[in-house]
Amino acid sequence: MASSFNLGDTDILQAQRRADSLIFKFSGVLKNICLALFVLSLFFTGLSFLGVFSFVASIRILTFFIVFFFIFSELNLFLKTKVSNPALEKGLAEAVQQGSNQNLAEFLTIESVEIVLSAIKFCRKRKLTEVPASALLYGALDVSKQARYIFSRLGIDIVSLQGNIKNSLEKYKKDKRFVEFFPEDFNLAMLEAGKVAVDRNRQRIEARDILVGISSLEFFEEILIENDLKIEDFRNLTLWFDYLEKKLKERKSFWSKESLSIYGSMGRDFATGYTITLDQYSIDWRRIVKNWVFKAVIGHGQEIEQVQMALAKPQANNVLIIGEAGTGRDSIIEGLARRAYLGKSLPELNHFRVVELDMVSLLSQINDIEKVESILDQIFQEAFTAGNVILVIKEFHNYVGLDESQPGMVDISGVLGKYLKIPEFKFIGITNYNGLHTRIEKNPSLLNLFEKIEVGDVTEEETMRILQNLSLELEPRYKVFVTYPAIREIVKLAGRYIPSKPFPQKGIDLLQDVIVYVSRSTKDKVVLPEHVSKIISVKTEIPVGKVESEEKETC
Amino acid sequence: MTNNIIITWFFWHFYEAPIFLLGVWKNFIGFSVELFSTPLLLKTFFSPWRKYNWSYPRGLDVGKILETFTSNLFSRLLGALVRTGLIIGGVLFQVFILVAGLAVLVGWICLPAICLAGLLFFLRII
Repeated sequence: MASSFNLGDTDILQAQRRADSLIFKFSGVLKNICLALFVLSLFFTGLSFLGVFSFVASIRILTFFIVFFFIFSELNLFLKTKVSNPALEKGLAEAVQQGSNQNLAEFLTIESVEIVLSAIKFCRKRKLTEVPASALLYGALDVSKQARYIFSRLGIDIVSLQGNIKNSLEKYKKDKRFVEFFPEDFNLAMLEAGKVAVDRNRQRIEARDILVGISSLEFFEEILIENDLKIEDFRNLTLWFDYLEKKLKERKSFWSKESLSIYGSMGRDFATGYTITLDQYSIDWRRIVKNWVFKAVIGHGQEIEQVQMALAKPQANNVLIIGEAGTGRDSIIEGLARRAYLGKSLPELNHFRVVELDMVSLLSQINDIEKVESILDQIFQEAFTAGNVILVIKEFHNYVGLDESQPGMVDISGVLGKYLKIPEFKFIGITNYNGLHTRIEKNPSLLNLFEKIEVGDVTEEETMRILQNLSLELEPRYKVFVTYPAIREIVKLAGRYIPSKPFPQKGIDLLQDVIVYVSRSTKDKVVLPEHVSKIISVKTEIPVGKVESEEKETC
Repeated sequence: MTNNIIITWFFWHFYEAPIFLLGVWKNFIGFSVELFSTPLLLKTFFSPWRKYNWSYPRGLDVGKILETFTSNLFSRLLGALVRTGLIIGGVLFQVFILVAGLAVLVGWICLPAICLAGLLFFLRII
């Protein structure tokens, strides 16, 4: 393949050189220093009123620091928004379509340029006759934060990997002087990186795209196999990195419509009724979902759509969610609550509050059945008149079709039935198949008022993503770092050894157990597959992991 | 990208960045309208406060009818009163957003001149 990759005369290389110049490179640090000194000089200006310093001199110093704070802030902003992102003459998709004839160097980001420069520098130093793709990996591990983060998540020792790549590069053909020649594997990797970037709707090739581009090459596959990983694992991890970056970007963009919509609306709430009794015995999911940072509802997208459609119907607006505990039934409610809160649901549901009626709390506080019914009637009346409530009752089968009264259970079908017929009353009941068949189906007239929505299975891939996001929330709390292989092991072993629970619950439970174990019972700070095997062995009393393989060997 | 960084900066500072700031300003104006929902408050100005509404009794019990009428009237008046407060608050907030947005935009455009004036002041030229 003829090489068309040429960094030499590209705008992005020029941008990288500018970004590397002293004035831009340190603008961020200098900005912060100037701000700190400005605050300090404010203190001295205050002292000047006591006659300790000259007032005019202190004002001049104050002006100096604020002016330089503005200058460095502007330089930093100019670097981030303009210099680092020079205009492109054509789109990356078009360039990738043209394949090897196109110079893909134009489409690199500054971080990607630094990777290529580091690779070239390495090869130049050793007077190699070409810049092989493996030098790109060396360069990525040398200069790219993204690459280092991804490899840390993979649980691969970066120093040792760099050493191995260095040794393999030493074996390449050398000459008296270095030749900047990009061989076929380099160009193939860049083309693949370009395709990945296009697939992920990017205009430029990020560092992680280069890594994915290299991942299909033989030497990289060997590295992955050595570490018990597959190319899919690597791709999944970079996809997760994309998600993280998107979330962090959204969080930083406080001025965006989505970020501002988090604050809700005071005026709209004034047009709705109070729910005083309901508030005493309920959980407002709006308060929970508004603070989500990394959390997202993964899977169940179709079920959320179905629930929305059912609740927005002009007639009966009641939904019965049917699925076994642990299949992610609650995540459907969370997804609905989040969409409604952000105004991203259907117009009929936007800005509605999703409120879970805590029946357990209600029944534990009041024993008198008649009083319970009277309070429930009041609650349903409030939910209906408020005009912005979607009421949720979990384990709905515990409260309908009861043959006789049992502790902690009460038949509410009589009280609820009259409200379920009102179109403005929006209700979601959550139950399982056993509850549906043994209790709810006993009352066909009640069942007819509901639209039944069955909860589908969460796949292992979706569970992986759920656990990856959950680990981000748990890591700072327990001060541990969860590797990707550990999460993969959790899904694999939970699927094999915990048949009693469905995904994603068994994965979530196991992840929590493993993190608590590593944090509290070991001196380790990194959660590895061995820790998962250990916990599974303890829970199931079946030797798994290294122990299992050792036993196999002795047999 | 033009090779001249000064021209690039000039274009960015006086054209691209102000367009971005106008977008941000627009988002904040939308946010202020959404936060107070002024159009909705005006539309529901005389609606009962928090939907507190009493049904009129059946039959011709004048006392009860008058009592219900008074209660409903007070509910509507209370609603109008609170909404008036929120509308005033909303208008003030929107005016603040408008003024602050304009100040930021003008401040940004004049930033090079402000910095230059500040430096001259520091150097005791002004």
